[in-house]
Amino acid sequence: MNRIGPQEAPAQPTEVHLEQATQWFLRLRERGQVEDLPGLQTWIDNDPLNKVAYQRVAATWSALGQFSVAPEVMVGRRNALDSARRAARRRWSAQRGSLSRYLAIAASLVIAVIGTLGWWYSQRGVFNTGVAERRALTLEDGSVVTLDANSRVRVQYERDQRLVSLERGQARFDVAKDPTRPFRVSAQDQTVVALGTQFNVELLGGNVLVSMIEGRVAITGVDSTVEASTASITGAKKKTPGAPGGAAVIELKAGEGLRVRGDGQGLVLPKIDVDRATAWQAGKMFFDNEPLASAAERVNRYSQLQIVVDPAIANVSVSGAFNTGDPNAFVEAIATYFPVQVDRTSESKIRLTSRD
Amino acid sequence: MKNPLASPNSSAADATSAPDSRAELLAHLDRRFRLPLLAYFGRRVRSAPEAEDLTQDVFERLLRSLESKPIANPEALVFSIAVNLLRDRWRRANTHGVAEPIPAEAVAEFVDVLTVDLSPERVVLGERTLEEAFSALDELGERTRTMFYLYRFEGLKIREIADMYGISASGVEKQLEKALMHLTRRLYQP
Repeated sequence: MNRIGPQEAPAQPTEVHLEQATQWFLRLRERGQVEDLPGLQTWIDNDPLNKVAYQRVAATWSALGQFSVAPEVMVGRRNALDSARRAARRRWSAQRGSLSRYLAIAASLVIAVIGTLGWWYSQRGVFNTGVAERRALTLEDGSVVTLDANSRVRVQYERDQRLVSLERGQARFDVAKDPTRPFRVSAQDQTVVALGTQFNVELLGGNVLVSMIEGRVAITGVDSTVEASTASITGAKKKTPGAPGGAAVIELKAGEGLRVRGDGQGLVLPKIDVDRATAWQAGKMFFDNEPLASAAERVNRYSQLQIVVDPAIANVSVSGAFNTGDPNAFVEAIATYFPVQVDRTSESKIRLTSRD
Repeated sequence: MKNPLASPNSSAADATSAPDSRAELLAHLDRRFRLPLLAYFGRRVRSAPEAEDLTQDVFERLLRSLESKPIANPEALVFSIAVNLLRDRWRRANTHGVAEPIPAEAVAEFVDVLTVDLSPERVVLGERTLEEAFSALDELGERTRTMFYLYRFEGLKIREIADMYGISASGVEKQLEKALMHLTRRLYQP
């Protein structure tokens, strides 16, 4: 191709080029015959931009394939199947047989894909930290997982995805970007999909807390109906492609957080304090109106001496800054401000009960 | 560049009417298809000399066909000779001689050879990835998006989708075309 000058931008395919390219692509893919090839060759010879357009269509097609098991796509696939099922039911109410065959094929594909996500759980690649221990793991792709004390992750890297399961405690993820291999963190039933980014995930009292440090993530498995009725959803974009009522995919940006309860109900936190969420790495803890039980759970990660909180005072709100690994200072502060009874009779436990 | 075979039927008839134009046609086909054929065979056999032999075979068979009778569509013949050569070779290699290569696959390989460029700089998707792709999918109408999902991710055929929705296959194809064109446009917008 001769261009007028080296500075000139290469010509772009027009709508006509793209339209013809798409037609060729679909026709060849659906029912390509040797007889079609000369026509294709002629079309390509006619205009250099025809080939560029075709390549773009083909590249778009295959790029989408890389995301076929991404959470957004899984939600979209489920919605597509639901909607197709409704359309087919309206039309085929008298001929169930042939309809259910297609749907059975399609549904089994979805199940197979979901099934493979469960499979890796049983594999090796488990990393632990003990009490008061911190550990940074550099994974094979350059991603770094920093494990807080008393935490556990399971790492399973596959050809087309990178899976990490947080089974206990807390970890910070610094994800190396690789669009062809999505990085997924699962904690309880939630899955965080990262697109090359930094975030913190913590398991605390049956909740999953996600704090975005940089970049974006998508989170699936959160109950969208409850989620939608929550006022603070406005801070984050919620994506539910297709029919309403399906599982939501929540997208979080830097500075946003998400708290998901054990029952799958989620609350988006439009503005979190990122420094505080990651302060554990510098040996600091911050509590801001936090229930006493979960504050104690955090303190316990760093100490053999365990604080046990009586259920009657579990929901007392505590605030303050503490050094990790100093449970006594925490207990003293609590006892100073709240009507709490401190029982130190056990060697390994400090019991906090109501003074009333 | 004007293609001398834009109308294959008439030009082929002319070409086979005299030895001179036959040689001209052969030279034209050689110029046009030798490289794609080499690339095609190069992908499917182990060595470059083997790919060259097979390419040479295609032109020899083509010459014999042109000498024996008029050929309606000489260009299509080039491709089908190539596919058949490979099929024969594969059949010989397979001692049972039962299985046949899938023609659709052979055609798809040819499509790749004809369309893939060695300088892909204008094809690379760059930073536009999942997010762009899915916001682009969300911009489609629900029915278009659903059909595209079924086709792209669930592997349904156009005919099967048409049956579900009770519309014609060409109607489904129009929707898929619209979806794929929109996605391509979005992923490559400057």
